[in-house]
Amino acid sequence: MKKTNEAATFPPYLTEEEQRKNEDYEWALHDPQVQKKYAGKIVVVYRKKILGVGKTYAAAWAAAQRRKDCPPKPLVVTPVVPYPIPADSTASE
Amino acid sequence: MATTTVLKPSRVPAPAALTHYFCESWWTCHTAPGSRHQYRERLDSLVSTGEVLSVIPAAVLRRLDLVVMPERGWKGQVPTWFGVPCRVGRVTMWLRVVEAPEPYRQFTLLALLPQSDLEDEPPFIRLGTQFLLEHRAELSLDCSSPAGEGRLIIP
Repeated sequence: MKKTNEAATFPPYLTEEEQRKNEDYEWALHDPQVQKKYAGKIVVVYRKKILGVGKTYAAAWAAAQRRKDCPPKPLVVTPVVPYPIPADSTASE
Repeated sequence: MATTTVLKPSRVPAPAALTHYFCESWWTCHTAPGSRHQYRERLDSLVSTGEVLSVIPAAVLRRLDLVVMPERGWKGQVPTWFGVPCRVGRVTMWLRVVEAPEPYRQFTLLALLPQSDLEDEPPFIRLGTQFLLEHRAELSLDCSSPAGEGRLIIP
């Protein structure tokens, strides 16, 4: 288990940096091209750029770290890209 | 004041219409192993009423380097996660809420921390019924279509 010190205090809103990361996360969740290419995979995203892809966090992060432009972990987001919901979502598939 | 968190559906590829429900979640993490500096990281969590306790898979714990606080009041044995030995701990999370003026609400989450991964385990933190009970939450899901959303209302 990691260190068990008390959790720090954060505000009930996102900081500027967190907002930037949130935009990256939302982009990966909703961009049709990202969904088409990476649905079901974990992606490492930084400023709306895919730096790494993998079936696991470790694989995606290892792929991202092979790039010279990969920033430190706290600056990237690693969402799981969802499968698109069909346009006619009222019908059973 | 009660807050409402929207649960978004996410399709599971299968011959039938399968969906699970996520909510936007942020977690308190260490910047680096051994570091005292902390930050918040987004990783949406999966509402999982089939789980009694919330579960943070080992792969997620490694990825996020979560700040885990001991659960001093825990008595008795710690359950396993499909046979994988676990610890219990408490982490800090923020859920996105729809009410103004504060868009994120802080909670602590008691969770099982499996010591290793299950093969092909989906890489999500699962919010179990203990979390819902502890916070006296009301859960509703619109399953009238695969695109239906859910709501988690917490007093």
